[in-house]
Amino acid sequence: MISVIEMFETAKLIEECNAIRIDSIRMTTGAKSGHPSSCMSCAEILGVLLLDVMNLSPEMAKDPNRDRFVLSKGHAAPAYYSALSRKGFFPRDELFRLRDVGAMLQGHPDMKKTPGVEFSTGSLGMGLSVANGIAMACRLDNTSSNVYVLMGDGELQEGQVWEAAMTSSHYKLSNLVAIVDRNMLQCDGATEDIKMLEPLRDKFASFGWRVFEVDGHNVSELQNIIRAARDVKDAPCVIIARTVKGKGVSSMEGVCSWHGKPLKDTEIKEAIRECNR
Amino acid sequence: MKLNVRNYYGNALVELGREDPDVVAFDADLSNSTKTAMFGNEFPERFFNMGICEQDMVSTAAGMAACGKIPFVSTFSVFVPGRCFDQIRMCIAYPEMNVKLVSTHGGISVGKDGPSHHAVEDLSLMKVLPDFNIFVPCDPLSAYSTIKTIHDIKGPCYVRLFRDSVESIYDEDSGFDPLHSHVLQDGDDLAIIGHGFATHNALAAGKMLEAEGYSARIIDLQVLRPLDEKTILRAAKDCGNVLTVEDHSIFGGMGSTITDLLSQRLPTKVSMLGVDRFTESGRPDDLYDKYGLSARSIVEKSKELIR
Repeated sequence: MISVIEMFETAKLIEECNAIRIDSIRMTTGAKSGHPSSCMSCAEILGVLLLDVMNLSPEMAKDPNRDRFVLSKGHAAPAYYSALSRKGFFPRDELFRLRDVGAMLQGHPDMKKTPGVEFSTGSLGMGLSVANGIAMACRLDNTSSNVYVLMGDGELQEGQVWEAAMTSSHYKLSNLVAIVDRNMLQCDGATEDIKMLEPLRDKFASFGWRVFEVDGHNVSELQNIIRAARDVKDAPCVIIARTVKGKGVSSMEGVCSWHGKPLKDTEIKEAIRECNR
Repeated sequence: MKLNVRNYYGNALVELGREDPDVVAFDADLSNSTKTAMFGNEFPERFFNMGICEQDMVSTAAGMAACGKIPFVSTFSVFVPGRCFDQIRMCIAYPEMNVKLVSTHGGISVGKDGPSHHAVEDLSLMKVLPDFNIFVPCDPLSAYSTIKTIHDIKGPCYVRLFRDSVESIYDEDSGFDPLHSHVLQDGDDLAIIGHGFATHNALAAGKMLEAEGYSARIIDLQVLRPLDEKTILRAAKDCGNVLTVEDHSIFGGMGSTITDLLSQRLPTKVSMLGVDRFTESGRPDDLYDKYGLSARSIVEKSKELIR
């Protein structure tokens, strides 16, 4: 039985996740560039991680026991920035200077420029290795940190991801949770047409990982699964989150050509209305 | 007595491990050759043999550095940076991670393994990454001091070592400073600048020229970045003629670093000895002879320039 308070909290979180999605649309349209549909598929994953599950706050920015997050699919930066801003890492005004000269928010996450960004990313396939390194350091230092990394599905075609997947299981990095934003699309088409990833669950399992699957847009399911994965103590865990690229705007959902294209000024009013429906 | 510079890397790393619990080491299945195994034997919990996975190794080390660790990362110069340039650029250089890349087996002095293993591009690759400190020690003491010194530099460093054993150039009285280049022999007919393994041939050539009545200034360019501009500009001014010798490609290597500097600050004629093609298997001395890096080749080229 979930309490009324829990129901209320979940409803609030669902709203925040959707707000991350809407911010991403506004930010990329304002910047006239970026990857809105890649943000829209992982809005709930980022919201649940950063705004709910993770032990993190601006006050903890230097705390060795804070939880860490690496956005391996760095092109979803706008959604990440929206979540960090909601968490209080920097003022909301910054969101709308995205990609401007002199601005704090780069096209892809930059740890030197943006408070809250744990590691710089942008070239795909590197985030899992970085997260492994962080998890190994946390273990050496005996911290209570959990380390989370969000990967796109397309970037799983990079060989480095599987080098890193071997490292995670070899070192039994149970303080690590990887999440795959399985939206089935990459820049040039469907992942299964370009270079098939399935059977993805079996691939990770055979690399020594504990595998979970979840509807990546269902906030309460995500909350439960991420916490369950976090609490596994004998193996690294991966959550394959089934998502829809461009989720929330019918003209963008599952349409590959939206990968690196923002909505036009004239289109966002209707798009936001649809997200809020 | 010829000594293996890699052992001095291993020793320095073990000492750093004892002095600083944040020092960690990574290798990609070559730890007995790079000598990181010495660190691994004493500090197994701080040593990570990543297997044959250079890309993963570099990014993992960067993640550790983000948590305050000081990773020393080693494999052959042909693989770091060659196999993982994007990872070095993205995970170490751009975020200015405090990672120390120490590659061994640089240059054609690797010899018989052949061109697949002759790392002659590594310094050109590292040079294009801004703020990456680059060191090319030439002997046991310089290798040892460089390793101890880069531990105290906060920021990315690359050190290139080589395979073959060499005679010592420096001793404890030499006042060796890892952050500067060093004039090994004074002279003003010509300046010969070498680094790493090539410094030995430059020095031998200097002695041969001296015996023939020429006066060559021999410089060991221990640091490629930050460049010791003062020593180079003075040599160019005093000698008016510069010859660079590198066990590396002439395309973007040490020689071109010197020409970049001199063409802008003090236009001086610079000639470059180095590799300009894929070479072949062979004994290091034979390769140095054939590809124009031997002491004899340096002497011939020098006389041509002085005339």
